Amino acid sequence: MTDEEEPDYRFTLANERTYLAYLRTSLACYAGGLSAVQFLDLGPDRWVARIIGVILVLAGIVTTGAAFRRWQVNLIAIRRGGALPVTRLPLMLGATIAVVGMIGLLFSLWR
Amino acid sequence: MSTPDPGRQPERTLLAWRRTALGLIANGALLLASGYGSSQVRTGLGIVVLVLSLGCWAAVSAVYRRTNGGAVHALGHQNVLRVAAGLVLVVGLFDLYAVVTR
Repeated sequence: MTDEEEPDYRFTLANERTYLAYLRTSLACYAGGLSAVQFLDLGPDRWVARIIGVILVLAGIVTTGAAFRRWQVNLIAIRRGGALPVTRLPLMLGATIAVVGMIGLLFSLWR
Repeated sequence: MSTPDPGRQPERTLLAWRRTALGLIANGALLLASGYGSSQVRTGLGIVVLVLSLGCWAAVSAVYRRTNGGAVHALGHQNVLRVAAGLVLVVGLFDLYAVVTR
């Protein structure tokens, strides 16, 4: 077992704020997904808007879970004085948002 | 750890909590405004989310006031963060339902 010690509270709070920032990101994904099905007018069918909406909401759900996991892992690393592990979460989020943006752009140009 | 000046860290953390609650409130309002499902389901889910998010705002504000600017251990407790994740997950499932049925 590695020794654990109570870390500087500033690190604990910073970790908590990072977690909350991820939660806000997932809430923004949800809001974007809802807005897409509500306001996007891409063609006679609604399927493009629906695909965009589903992708965004699913990305939000994944972000919520991953953010909590990440907060726990970071907390343990901070307590043990180890390095913070690498995460693919920003890559996933960035890629998702880029893909959704491309779909929206393509269809608004094509229409 | 026992610095006399706690800085603005607890306050920033409270503000982060409040922004998160605001995001929840916005999602509740969007759920109410979007045209998915039947109007009873829509109103019910929207109101549930709005009440939970307003409660979240009130709870973090009350905790901050009670601990007199500390807010450190009370807010940093694992269960509170677990509840927050659960709340956001529930909102996400509602939103998924809304997006699919719209």
